[in-house]
Amino acid sequence: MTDAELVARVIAGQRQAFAELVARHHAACLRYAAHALGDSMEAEDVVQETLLRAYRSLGRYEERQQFRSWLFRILVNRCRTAAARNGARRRRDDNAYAGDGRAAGDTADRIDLRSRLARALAGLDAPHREAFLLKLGEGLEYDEIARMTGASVPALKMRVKRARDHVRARWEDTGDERTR
Amino acid sequence: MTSGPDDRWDDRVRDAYRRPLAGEAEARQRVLARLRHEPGAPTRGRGWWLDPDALRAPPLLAAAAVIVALAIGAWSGARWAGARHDRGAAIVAAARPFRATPASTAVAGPTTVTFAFRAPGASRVFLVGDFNGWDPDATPLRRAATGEVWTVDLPLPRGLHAYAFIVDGADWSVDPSAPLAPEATFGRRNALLVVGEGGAL
Repeated sequence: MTDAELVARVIAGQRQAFAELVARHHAACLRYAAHALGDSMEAEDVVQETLLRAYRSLGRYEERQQFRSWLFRILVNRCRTAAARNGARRRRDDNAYAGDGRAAGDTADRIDLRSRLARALAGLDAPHREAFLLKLGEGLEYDEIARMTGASVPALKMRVKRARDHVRARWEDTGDERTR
Repeated sequence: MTSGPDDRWDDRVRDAYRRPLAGEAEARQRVLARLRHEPGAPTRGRGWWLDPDALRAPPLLAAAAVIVALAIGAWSGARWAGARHDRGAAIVAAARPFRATPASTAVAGPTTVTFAFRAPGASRVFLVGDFNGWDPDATPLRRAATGEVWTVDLPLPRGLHAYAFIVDGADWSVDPSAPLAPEATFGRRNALLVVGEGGAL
């Protein structure tokens, strides 16, 4: 069953169909928010708020849109709000979400790769981080990212290039011999 | 198509990005638990104010809209404050364990309703309902002098409202003396209140 069909079922009163949409998209949302915000606890709050808002405004979803794109548009906006709210009190270059994983019984390899990425992302401002994560992380097309973020495709390409250079330099500084 | 060093690096970064986070399943369960608090299924045409498409507007238009909204809000607030002063303070009947009592229905427009909830051992009580978007942090109740009853006054428009209380951030409690909405698929029920046309159900 497609996402659009599940949405139609929810609109028709079968609320449980939304649980399937949550099952399909929650992990991707959490992943994006964790890397965008650098804090897994805050990421969980933002994703929860995103899914609640999506549920409440489901009546405005149009089938011609990809549900995932529509959902991510809400998520990106919520992440922007959270980042702006907390920017003054949080340094981005912590690796809180890698640390959270350690406490929750994560594997060493998972922590290692995630913390390496967290360190490599450190210092990127929100627009560059956003473009980098949506393009390289989520693998979205530029047109799709442009609709989500409101930025032009040329601007996004430039942001991704700069962000990629930044992340790659820092990634290799962390001593990942396999990329050399 | 060949795979160069840049592509291989992209793949490694993507791999790092896509590693599952610890606690994902538990976080998903918490989302579903929160959704159980949501009343009713969404319908076409509802929720436009939350639609990101609807919120996107040119900066000048957005600024103008904000100014107009603030002006309307200030005018409405002044009118409501005046009407509320005329009606006087709400009266709470603390003898009942849970209660939503319209303070007045004599004046057209919003009616101030007092919500009262008896929770002797609670440290926090919040009111959630369709009128505050079921936001669990939007409407705190204040502990009365007796230490057992928590109250809040709220102006509500005429019509049918569903509501519940959240105690200490976890317990979802409904008024046992009020009629209940049909059980939602996500498993929660809410109390119903009619404002206007004769007062509470």
